[in-house]
Amino acid sequence: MNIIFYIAALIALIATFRVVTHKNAVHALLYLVVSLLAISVIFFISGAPFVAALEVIVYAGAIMVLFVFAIVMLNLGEDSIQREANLLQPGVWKIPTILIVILLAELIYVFASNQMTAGNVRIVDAAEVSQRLFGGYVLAVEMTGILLLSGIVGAYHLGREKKREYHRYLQTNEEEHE
Amino acid sequence: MVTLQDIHFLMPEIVMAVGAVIVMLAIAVKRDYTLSYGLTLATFLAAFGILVLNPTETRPVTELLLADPLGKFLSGLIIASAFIITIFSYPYFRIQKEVKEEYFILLILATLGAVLMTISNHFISFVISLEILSVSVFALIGYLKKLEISIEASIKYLILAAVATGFILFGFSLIYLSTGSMSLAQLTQTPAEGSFSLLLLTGLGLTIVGFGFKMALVPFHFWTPDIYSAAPAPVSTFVATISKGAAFVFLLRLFYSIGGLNNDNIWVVFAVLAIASMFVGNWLGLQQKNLKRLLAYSSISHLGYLMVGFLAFSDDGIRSSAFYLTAYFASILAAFGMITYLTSEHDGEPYMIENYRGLFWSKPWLAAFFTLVLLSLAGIPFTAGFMGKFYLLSSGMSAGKIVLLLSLVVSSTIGLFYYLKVVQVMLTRSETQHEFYIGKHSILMQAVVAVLFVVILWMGVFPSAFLSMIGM
Repeated sequence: MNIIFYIAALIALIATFRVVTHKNAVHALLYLVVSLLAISVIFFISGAPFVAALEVIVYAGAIMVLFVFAIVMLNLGEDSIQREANLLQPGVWKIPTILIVILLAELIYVFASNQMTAGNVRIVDAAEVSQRLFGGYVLAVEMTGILLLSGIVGAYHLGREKKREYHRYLQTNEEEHE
Repeated sequence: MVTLQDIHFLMPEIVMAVGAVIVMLAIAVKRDYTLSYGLTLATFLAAFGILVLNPTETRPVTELLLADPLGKFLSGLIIASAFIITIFSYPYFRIQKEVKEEYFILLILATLGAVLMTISNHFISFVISLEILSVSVFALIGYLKKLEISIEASIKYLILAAVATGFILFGFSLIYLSTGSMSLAQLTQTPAEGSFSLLLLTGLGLTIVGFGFKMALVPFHFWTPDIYSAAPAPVSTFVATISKGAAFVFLLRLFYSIGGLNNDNIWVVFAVLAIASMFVGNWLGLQQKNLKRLLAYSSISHLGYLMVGFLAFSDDGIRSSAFYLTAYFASILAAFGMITYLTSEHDGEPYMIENYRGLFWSKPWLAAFFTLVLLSLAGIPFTAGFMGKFYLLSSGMSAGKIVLLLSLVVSSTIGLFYYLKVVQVMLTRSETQHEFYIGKHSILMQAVVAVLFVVILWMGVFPSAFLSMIGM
């Protein structure tokens, strides 16, 4: 089972390295997804299926979609249309796909061999996690709520559009132009 | 599980969390700057009152937090400082053309994060409270978002703080890997005296990097002057006092519980950080013409001095560090308070030393107060700063750390020059008049300045009375 861990860890390292070195933002994000999926496999074989699922749903799912969405929104114009046309050339997705296929093979192997964990690890399932969260660690959940509040208030303030206020002279000038 | 007794202990934090929500709801109903300000003051006052009335005890509160005298004292210090910063903020932000009410929500939340940090007894609670503090501080630094320099400082702090948190998290996970525990209470038993595995040493080393950033110790100090000079003066005060103090407390708890200072390698690393902070901070301060940057370098060197108490690795060291932190908080609050006090709607913050030319002749009382504050920062007798350094020296002396003590004395002497340079500029006769400034019409602000004056003198003249009052 150790070999599974090493392969997944190697994939995570290669993918993360490519995230940093890649010049094209969308390609870098593709590698970031691969890296997150590899980490999720590592979580899975370390006996934390719940965290593995969260990693896929939250990071590879929601956050990545937001990233891609933001980049697509920002790259408006002729230039980016040309670039988007080049996005799906084989050279771009070949290596990430190979890495993903290796991860998939690992996952299938893990399920097929019916040996879910690497070495002597206790499996922690979702029920146990939630019992801890609302038992001993309940204050941590409350504190996370406060953290979100401060994030929201900060983002609200910094992202707030300034109301357009024209000086009265400018206002009359504009009306005259119209 | 959380018992009723635990809720009793947590009341100050609960009051602050509820206070933040109330201010937010009040904004939703009606935007009123004075109302938000009043509610914030009431929140801090209530939290402080409850904290003082709570019995002092030593026991774990759930797995995450800890009730003890040190935590109680520093929580009180932080809430009191936040109260003072709120009073400084009110006239300062009233003259700004910006939506101002949210400032107070962020201030309360940041203070809450800092207070939770001082009572954390577990990596998880520490990391979450650190994030509460940092996320609020990003927004606070860039609060005046029409100033590009503020936004730039905010992004700078965001990136560096994220990297520092990354280091801390990686360090914590290595510590967890080698000891199997994330609770400081259990870490006490794990490593045998001074024998540390390479993995544990690496983990502790990475956390030192993260804490070094948070406390602006020397190789990690580059952000400090930029952010202090770009942030609004009350926010600079917050970053210089509360966020540094809170990080220091957890560093103290972590390394005292794990016994990290018994290990020679770790001790030497901290000693080098401390000595470098003292000298580099004081050395770079000599060339400054910008008062906010000067105070930034001064705070770097003060954190270096503080590490002497930390490195004494004894109860005496904890006591002297707590006293020094109080003296440092009072002096830095007063120094930045002075900049806030003389801010005018027309000219903005008087952040250059030149702006104070001739202050002694136009406003003798203010100048005298400012001189006292600068002398306290320099550590001249009969001020809080002197007694703080005295206690640090005595705790270091009993632990026999001669090299540290020598650098403390030598670097304070270097530092004396730039504090006195400001005094000299104030004493020079000049025609510059300070007429319109925000402190003129704020009675509360004048009262706070007077209180700080008394505290700095009192701590310098009768430190024993002060020590017994804080129960140390």
